[in-house]
Amino acid sequence: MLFHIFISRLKIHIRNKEALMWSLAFSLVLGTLFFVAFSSIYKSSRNTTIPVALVEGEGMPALPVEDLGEAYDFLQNDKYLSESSSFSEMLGNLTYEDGTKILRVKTADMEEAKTLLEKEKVDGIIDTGDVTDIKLLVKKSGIHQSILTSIVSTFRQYVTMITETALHSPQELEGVLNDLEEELSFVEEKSLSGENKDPYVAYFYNLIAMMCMMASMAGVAVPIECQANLSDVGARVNVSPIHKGVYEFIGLLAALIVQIVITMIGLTYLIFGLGIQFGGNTLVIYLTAILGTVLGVSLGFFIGHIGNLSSKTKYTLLTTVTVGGGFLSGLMFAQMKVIIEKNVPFLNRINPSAVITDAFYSINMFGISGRYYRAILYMVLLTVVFLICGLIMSRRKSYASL
Amino acid sequence: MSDTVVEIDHLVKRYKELIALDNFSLRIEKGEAFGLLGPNGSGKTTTINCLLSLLAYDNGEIKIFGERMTPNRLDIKKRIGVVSQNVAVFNELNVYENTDYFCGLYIKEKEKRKQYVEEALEFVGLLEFKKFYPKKLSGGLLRRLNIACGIAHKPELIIFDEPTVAVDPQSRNNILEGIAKLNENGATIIYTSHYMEEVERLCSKILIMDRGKRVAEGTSDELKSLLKNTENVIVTIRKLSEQSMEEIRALPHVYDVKYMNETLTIKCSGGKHNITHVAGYFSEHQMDYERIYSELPTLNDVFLEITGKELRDKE
Repeated sequence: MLFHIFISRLKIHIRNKEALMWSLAFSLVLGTLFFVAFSSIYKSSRNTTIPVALVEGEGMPALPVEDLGEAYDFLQNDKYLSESSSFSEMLGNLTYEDGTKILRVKTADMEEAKTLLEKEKVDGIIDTGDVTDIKLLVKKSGIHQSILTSIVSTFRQYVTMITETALHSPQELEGVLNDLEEELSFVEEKSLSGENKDPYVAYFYNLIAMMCMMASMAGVAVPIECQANLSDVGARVNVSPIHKGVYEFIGLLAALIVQIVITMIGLTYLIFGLGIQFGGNTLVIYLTAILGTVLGVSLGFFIGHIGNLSSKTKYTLLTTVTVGGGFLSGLMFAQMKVIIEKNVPFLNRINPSAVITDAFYSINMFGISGRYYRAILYMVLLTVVFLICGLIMSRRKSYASL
Repeated sequence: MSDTVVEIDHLVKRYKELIALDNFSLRIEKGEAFGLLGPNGSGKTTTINCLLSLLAYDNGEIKIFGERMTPNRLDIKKRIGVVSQNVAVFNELNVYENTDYFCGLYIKEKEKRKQYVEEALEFVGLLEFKKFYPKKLSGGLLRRLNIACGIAHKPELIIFDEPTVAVDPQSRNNILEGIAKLNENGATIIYTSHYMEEVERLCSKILIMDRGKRVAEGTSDELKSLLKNTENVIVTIRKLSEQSMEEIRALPHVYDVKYMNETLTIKCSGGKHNITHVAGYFSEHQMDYERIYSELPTLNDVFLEITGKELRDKE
């Protein structure tokens, strides 16, 4: 009997073309619009080699290692310093994760470099006239200029750190160099490529989070179709001998499966149709999206059970919660989540949109980290709370009015 | 073992200040076709919803099949079928699937369910439409589907809550015939309506209610016997003198005479063939009339006489 109801519920969801279209169209159309809107920026910042002019000081060594006394031996054996015989070569060796070189270095004198910059043949000039004060000249601001600033700034810090350590605490130089190597490898593999691949990918993560929240519409329909005071079918179900909790659970399961498939189709379209390269493990992204969909449906299920509200009021309430929650989680204004985190952090823990967004943000920025696990934990907790509260409220009852 | 299928005792249901059911009681015996008749807002649907434990009530007791009815009495619900006023089906399922779905809430066995669904669809005349989706069905066919969904599991007690609202006369006739057949097959029927003709035609026992209270109960004839008026003779005549009026008033069984807009209405108490006396009077006095006919009292007259208002709003 239960399987029969389950199959019929699936049919009802699948044949509800209007709802199905809206759910699917949302992810496909909005994903395509995002892609069209951001593709030029997306491509420009994606693993492209940045032309840069390098102005080296006269007789300037790659690094002042010979002046470092007893620290010299450590520096001689250092991977980065020994492999890069000159600063120019070291810059040229920086690569993205896929092996694409980050910089195309053209050594030039200052005058020639300025001409190249003026004609936009290069995106910046790195002036190493004074190794302790490496300068960067750019003509405008943009992604490439930001990357150059980041590289130069990092290099400045390293030089300062190595110099200071070598001069004042040479015995700690080996440890410092080891730390720096780890950091350098992070700069190469993470900051400029790896998990934190592209700032525009965040929009697509937000889109997936919104898709998960859209699933709540299917969730709210489950209790509405089971309540005698909200629908005629609900009245028929209530006079039948089936246990109401079981009936709702079957309806919930069917809604979940359909919504998960919709989310998966949307996500697959983003990944394989539009070729959006999400950072992190694709499987983890799929699993997180599934959990987000479960949370979305559970939220709808919970709201569908609240009080003696009309179905219209419940849909309005749900829309307010999802859209309002989306706004508070930064889906429309990125800084909002930070503002909430500063002033009312608890809200970010109980707002499903914020929790889902945080999970994707964590994957985007830090990969599978403690923060990601924390977000997953909140997602699971909220889901359990919504489901339990919904099921408790679904107990068979008589209504005060119909 | 008692043959009483439904017992409602001193039921009170309030909606804030409004008393929807005021110490309302009824008993329905096994195999009866019980009509609950009353104007809109009289409390018929509230009674049915309380009976099914859909509505909470303030006082009183409800027993079905001798057991106290509560929302969790799934064993009792299994023996009841409900055909609601509103069509309650899924637009995404076709005729067969809808009937099968709702029958599936009662019947576990697949084969048995299949047989029951086929029988229900044949009963309501929808077999040839079984692949049709609800949106493709006419209002009458949709009502029939609603009935099929409510009776497919072969319940012992079937509640029809105004099943013919907004149905064309032909479909209404089919539905009423079907309900009569269900009753013949042994099902106890509760039929609520404000269409007195339907209740009169179908029901072996009728309870008339108004403002949540019992007005009268009995068979159609028993209810009509409560009336002083047993026959109305109506004559269309252009002119009528005061003297003629007095003479007609003096005819046997006549207790009231009214002449208005060329129509003479003669109310009689006792006997069913008073038209012959009236026709005889006009013939004897060589008075020409356009038309003469007799009307027997209806349940509406019963309701009108007891409550002073019409059963049904003028349509």
